[in-house]
Amino acid sequence: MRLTDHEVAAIKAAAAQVFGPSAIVRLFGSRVDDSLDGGDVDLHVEVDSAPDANKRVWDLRRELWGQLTHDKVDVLISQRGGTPRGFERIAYRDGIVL
Amino acid sequence: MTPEQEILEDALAAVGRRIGTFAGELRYHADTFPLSHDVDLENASNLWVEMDAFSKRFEMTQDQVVRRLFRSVLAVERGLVVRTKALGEVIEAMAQLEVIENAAEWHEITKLRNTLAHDYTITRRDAAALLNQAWAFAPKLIAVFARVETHVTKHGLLDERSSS
Repeated sequence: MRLTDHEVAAIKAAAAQVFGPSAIVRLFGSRVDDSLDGGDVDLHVEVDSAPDANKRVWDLRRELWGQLTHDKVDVLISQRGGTPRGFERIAYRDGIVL
Repeated sequence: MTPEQEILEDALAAVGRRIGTFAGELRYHADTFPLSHDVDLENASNLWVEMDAFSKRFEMTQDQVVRRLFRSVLAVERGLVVRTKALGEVIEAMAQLEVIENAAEWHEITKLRNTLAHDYTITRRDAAALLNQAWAFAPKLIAVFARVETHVTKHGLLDERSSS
């Protein structure tokens, strides 16, 4: 996984603040592959419910602004108990829980 | 269906809708293009607004085709790691699959798209030539969608596979 300890801590703290303590954050995409360089930070956040999901995604990005070495963060939200599709399934399959 | 196949299926549906809309937009603009080299966009407010709209729709369609559709095909064919590849590599890979014939042309159009989208120093006078280039390429954006559909069918990219 290509995130520093500081970055992982910052992501977990920001997600807890924006989505609540029950949110589970996974890193997926290129950043889980140690053989690659660079790349966006793809985060998957599993939540009990996701009212105002788009707003919260922006809130999370704002919280993380300046805390990561690479500022391009993509966030995917899944509601717990829902039926994941496409990238959500990939996040569950390949993602690393932070 | 694998997650990658779901992504491709969703991309085909979404990009197909965009392509359908774009085809209608091209018909709407058919009487306007090609722009004359001496067209005075500086003083033609209505035409400028129309051309700005065309430019945005061209950018959007090109983006959907290359960034979303091409990448989705490669996600099924070559694994999701292609999401991380630069668009230039995506274009080369689609040429290898023979979905596109001329990679150099698609690199040029990506450059043009980026210029239209991000170069705010373009004057209205410069814009006419760039818009004509976009207009000339636009039918290829529509045609490539059919080529992608054919490729997907021919290679069974959406055929049922063991889910992972």
